[in-house]
Amino acid sequence: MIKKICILIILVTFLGILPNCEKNLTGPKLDEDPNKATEVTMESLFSSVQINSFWFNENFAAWIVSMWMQQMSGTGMTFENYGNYQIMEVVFDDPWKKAYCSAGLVNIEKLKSNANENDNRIVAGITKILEAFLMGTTASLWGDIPYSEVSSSETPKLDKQSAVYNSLHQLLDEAITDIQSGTGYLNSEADHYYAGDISKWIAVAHSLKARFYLEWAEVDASNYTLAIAEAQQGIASTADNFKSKHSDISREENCWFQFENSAYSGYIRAGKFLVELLKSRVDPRLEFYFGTDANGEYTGSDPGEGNANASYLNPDTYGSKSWSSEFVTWEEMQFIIAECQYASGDESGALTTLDGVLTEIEGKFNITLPRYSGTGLTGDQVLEAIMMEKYIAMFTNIVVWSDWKRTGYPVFTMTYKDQPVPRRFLYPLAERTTNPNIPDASAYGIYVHNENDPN
Amino acid sequence: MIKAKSLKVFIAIAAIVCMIVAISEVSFAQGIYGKIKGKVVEQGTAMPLIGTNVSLLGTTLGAATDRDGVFEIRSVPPGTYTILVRFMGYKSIKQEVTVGASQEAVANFELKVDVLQLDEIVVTGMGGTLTKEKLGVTIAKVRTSDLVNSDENNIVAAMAGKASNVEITSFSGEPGATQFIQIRGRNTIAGSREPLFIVDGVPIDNSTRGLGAGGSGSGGTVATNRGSDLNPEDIASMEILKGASASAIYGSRAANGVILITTKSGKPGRTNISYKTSYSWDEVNRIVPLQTEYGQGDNGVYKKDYLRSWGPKLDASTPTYDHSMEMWDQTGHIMDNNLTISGGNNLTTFYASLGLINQDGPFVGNSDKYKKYSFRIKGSHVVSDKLKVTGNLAYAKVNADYLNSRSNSGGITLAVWRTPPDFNNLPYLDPETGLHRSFRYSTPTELRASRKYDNPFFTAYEKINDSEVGRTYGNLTLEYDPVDWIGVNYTLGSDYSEEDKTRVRPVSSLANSGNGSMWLRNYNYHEIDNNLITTFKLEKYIKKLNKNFSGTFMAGYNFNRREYKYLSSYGDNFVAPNYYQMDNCVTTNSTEYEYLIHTESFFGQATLDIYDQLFLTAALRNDGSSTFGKNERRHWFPKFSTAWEFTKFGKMPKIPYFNYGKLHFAYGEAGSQPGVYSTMTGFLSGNISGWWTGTLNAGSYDGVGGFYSSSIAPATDLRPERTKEYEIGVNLGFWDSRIGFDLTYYKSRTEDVIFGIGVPPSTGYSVKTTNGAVIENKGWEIDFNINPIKTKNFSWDLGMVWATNENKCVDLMGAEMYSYFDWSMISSVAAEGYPIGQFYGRDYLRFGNGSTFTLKDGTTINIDEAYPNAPAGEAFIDEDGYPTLDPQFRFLRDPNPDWTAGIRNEFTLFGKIKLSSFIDIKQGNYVWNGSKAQLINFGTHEETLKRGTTKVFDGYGPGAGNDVELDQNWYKGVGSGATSQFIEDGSYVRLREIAISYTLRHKIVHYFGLSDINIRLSGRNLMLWTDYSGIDPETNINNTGVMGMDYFNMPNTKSYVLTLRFNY
Repeated sequence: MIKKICILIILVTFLGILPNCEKNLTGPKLDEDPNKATEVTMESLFSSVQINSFWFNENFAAWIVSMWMQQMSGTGMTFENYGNYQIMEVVFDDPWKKAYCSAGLVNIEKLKSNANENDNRIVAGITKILEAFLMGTTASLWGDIPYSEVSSSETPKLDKQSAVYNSLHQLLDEAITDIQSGTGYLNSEADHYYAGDISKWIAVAHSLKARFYLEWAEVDASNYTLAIAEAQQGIASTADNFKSKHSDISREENCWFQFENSAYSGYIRAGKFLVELLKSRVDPRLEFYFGTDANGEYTGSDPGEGNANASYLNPDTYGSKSWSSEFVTWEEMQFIIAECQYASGDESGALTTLDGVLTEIEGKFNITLPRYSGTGLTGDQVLEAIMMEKYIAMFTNIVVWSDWKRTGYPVFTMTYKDQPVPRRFLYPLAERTTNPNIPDASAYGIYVHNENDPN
Repeated sequence: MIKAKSLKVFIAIAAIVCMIVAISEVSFAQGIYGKIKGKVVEQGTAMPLIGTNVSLLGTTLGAATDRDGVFEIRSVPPGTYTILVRFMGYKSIKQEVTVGASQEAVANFELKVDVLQLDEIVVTGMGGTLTKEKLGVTIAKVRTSDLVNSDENNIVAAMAGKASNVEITSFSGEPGATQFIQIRGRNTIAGSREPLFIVDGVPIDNSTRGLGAGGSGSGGTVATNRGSDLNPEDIASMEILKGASASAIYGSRAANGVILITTKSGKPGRTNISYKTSYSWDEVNRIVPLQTEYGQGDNGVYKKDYLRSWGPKLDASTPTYDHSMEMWDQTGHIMDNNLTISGGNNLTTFYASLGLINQDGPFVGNSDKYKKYSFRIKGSHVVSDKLKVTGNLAYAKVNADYLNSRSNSGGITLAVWRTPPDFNNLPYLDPETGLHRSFRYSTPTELRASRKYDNPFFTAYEKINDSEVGRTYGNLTLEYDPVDWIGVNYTLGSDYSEEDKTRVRPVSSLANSGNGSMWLRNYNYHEIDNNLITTFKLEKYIKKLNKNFSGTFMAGYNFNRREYKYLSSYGDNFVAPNYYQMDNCVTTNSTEYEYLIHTESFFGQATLDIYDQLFLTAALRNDGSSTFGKNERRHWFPKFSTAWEFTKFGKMPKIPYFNYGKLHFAYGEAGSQPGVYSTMTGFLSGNISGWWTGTLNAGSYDGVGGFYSSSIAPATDLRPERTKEYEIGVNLGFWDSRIGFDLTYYKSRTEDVIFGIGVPPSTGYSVKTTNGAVIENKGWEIDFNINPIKTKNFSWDLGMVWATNENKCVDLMGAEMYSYFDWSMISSVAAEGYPIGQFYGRDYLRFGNGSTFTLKDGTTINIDEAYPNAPAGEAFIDEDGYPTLDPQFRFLRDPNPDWTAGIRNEFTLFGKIKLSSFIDIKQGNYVWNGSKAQLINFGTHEETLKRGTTKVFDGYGPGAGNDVELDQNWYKGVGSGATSQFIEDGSYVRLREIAISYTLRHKIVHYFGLSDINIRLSGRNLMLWTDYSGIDPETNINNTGVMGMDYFNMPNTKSYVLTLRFNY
């Protein structure tokens, strides 16, 4: 009898537990991740998307471009290799992911749809401008990129660079219309670029169109006409320049400052080419851009020289915590206008425009610069003057690379082991190994010309 | 403030244990009982066998022999009993004995040596035990004396080489450094490769928590595997369930094997007291060779504060400093004290131990200290003949002060090996200004500025990396036999630990531009395990059916809960320079992370013995876990094993000197659970940060909060990874069981392996967690034991283990690779057709890949077309005459060993003197010598003494055959950048242990009331034979399970240890 009771007790115990199975495996912290938010506000996405654009334009892409364009120089560890054009697919994973993942294109799409759901055309329009800025820069660096299929395909195809630019022009036109509709509301605090001033965003849209048209002028000269028209509607003053926002607060500092104050300190230094150029011109921007080296002098490093003791950025300006990197500027628009004037045969107009920029720069930096009008420059000399001034003025901006590819200015006095200067980024390892549409790096390499860079 | 909860749990369980002990005093009774007395000696030598287990079958009665081999079992009710005498390494004896009321029966025993140890009880898991004879699977039993004699205070380190295919890798020689285990190869990609630790039937935590939220990342210091909290002296037995065929009964957490540990208990009889004290002398065993001939500078010219040492050749008058040794030019010590007391009577037993380890490593400075207090109390009481209660509680407190080491610019190895030979790192404070000076900022003028690299002495003396751990773990077990054929065992286990880490980077150290920063981190882990097992003892019912059959049946239920919480506060910019609290920081922020996992299981196991020669076992487990996807809630894990002792088969002809033979076969399936919350996604708030550097706080930027989506695409549904393993083996005994030979072959296939399959980042996600990869492991294992000489005055024991494992990822769902560790120069990857962990990195540009090369004139050539005669695999030589870098990473070498072995020798002289040695061998594993690569780049490595010499590089190309100079450009470029040059054979043979011990049993010792004193002098890691050119190749780059990577890793150590053990 006792035995039977015992068996019964044991059986009941087991059967009693069984029905609880599912209940034991569900509940708070079990079927939801307590460490992630599932619903977020439009403003919080909008803020992150802008911060991501700060990072994208002043982090790795800017470091590489400035080294290859010899404004800066790789002087330590792998950065020295990168500066010497020894660069691998894998190092492009990071900037590429910033373009597409997280607060990149995928959240831009999310933000656009949130804005549309809320009938907020102002936010939708500004988001489109940020999208055009991000994807335009990506296409400028890599050439053909995935774009039209990113939301619809598991392995997006590469769109021709020209197709991407065409889409972005359309997107910017839509953006302008959206913002001009006045429908919606922009939280000025969440607008890190213009604190809610929507007219300035419209100017940025025109400025980007001007830049994009100019980048295609080597292929089709008719783009000069389109570019000048957009540039004239572009950013109207240096005060309205499209630039990042930083502060002295930890993790809000400029990425160039963070680089020099990290474990990578000394791995990037001033480029000897730019330092010597500024010295030869007695251009006071030498002291504005760069700090002094240990001997109190302004020195740069050549590709392959690896002089880690050369100057870095001026710790009070470009190298400071709160320095705002200028991404799209009034100056750039004026350079575009000047170049377009030159292309249309108006050389004196071009030089006048150029002098206008210099006057503005003098005021901005409180320095004195020579003028070009009346110096008798003609032909290629005019173009060279414009492009060299643009090269100096657009310091650390990635636009100097496409200018060089297009015009051949500046002409570098030396390169690493006399090797050619790279003309594009490699597709990242993470994309190449997962997307069959991406070619192997060994099949093209960094010297292949992009579609808008035929020569 | 801290450990309050830990202490509370401790007090509660201590109270229960005390109650059990108290009750025992009441119920202890004597009366008409008789007793059994006797002596146990070794056959042939008549040497007393101390500590032999003597028990009466079918009762709870028993005793252990004392120093004279004498035992006494008291309170024996009158009757006839089967007495079982069991001692490890000897054949056990069963004998009938009859005791009358108030009588004393005498029974003496002579035990025979048996290297096969067929009668040895092997714990098979989930309350099951079998004699070794009946085992159908390979379960490695580690001798507890081997664990204690290893002179390692971390039980995982103590296991090194002791069992075939149980590979232990130490992180470094730093005190408290974590130890990795991998059994029978790696069968997971992204998951943990560590086995499950079960102590007294309850899982305990052996994770290694770094500084990250999930506990990953080294944070610039070592971290400790929590299994080290266990005191090796407390261990009574350790069994290793190597593969799924043995571990299936542990279901979805057992694919990496299970380590089963049983702690010591008190034995009825005389109270035993043992006190051990040991002291060690520890030194660094291998270093990185550096040059002292060329100074700081560039292109042969001295440059002050320059990064590298490509300066002028130093003349004899310039003082030089060999930085290879200066940070560890001292002897470290470990003071280890341990006291155990155990005893009891037939109804009640107790065991208590107290251990204190105090270690100061051989590294210069205030850090590298490790202090562990461990305490255990265990008591059991037979309440009635139907109920037994056991309480078991351990408490550990660990205080460690780690070093900021390894690959970060503040780390001592990185800074010291990169220091130019003409720069003196001492004094680390400038005598004039009192400011922190370093070779890149040698005349400091500012306090709050980056030193580029911190002076290694500043790091060693001024930085703080404290860890304080409090841990309470133990269990309460009720064994209830309602009727004689049913046994119910309920065990409630709890493992609670809390760790506080403090990290301070004082003002002027590298972090945060010299303004100083600090972390405070708190980790909290609590695991509760409920385990109910009902055993049906069906022997007599089965025997009724057929007297040649016997068997058991067991069914059980388990509910397990794991909870983890992590809190971190960060502050920077110290206002007052030497005051390290959060209120002294200009900016602070906090982060947190937590998880909760429930796992619920049902399981059953049946065994059947046929004709006492065929032994069958079958088991089945069903697991449900909150980590499984919603549609994948429950999964089955079956196993089956059979063993046939063919030498018992009647028709088997007798072969001389061949006395035992068993064939066994087993199949089993076990799993690994998906990472917690892998099936869920959401938005993150936090940093947008770069691979190199540059962090922008999107979570809160200029007062605006932000979110962004995770780059990991949500898994739709996840199943546990499933390892299916079969093994087949033979156990043979020769020469009257003085030679034992075990051979096992196993093959496993792990399916549904979870990994983040790379998806094109252009889709908005870079990774999607998924089931689907397949990994295979297969190998051979040999255990060979021989006792060639056994006389009264001399005995020799020789044991060898040898194993191979061949690991291969056979399916990666079409993904080219999964990189689970990315370094800018090298990755460790899983790729189809390659072993897990295969190195993938920079190589010379080689023929056979269809590669292109751009010549100086700008023309691009396809090198294979341009040089059709060049064999594939040969290097391309550029126009100057140097090899160049391949722009694409290539598969390089395999960090997994081809085979591993251990050889143990033990000589006993006059029963008092023991000489022993243990040799550990690992062959065919490759190690990336990243330190060498980087130090060549810096010009400090000994290799760079070749600067200025010339070389003709092998290969084909426009500059092939040119005699080119090994100049600075070569060494800084391809000469250090092509990783393939630095992947070296990391094979080694090491004398892991050598010892001599003497046991004093003199009258004088007895006069002081002691039974004996044992004096032992031993050496750990004294000899190491390897072709590896860096530090000890047994090293690891981080604590996440990456193999064979050495990038500014800290050196390992060797030790001399003196141990005294007093037994009462």
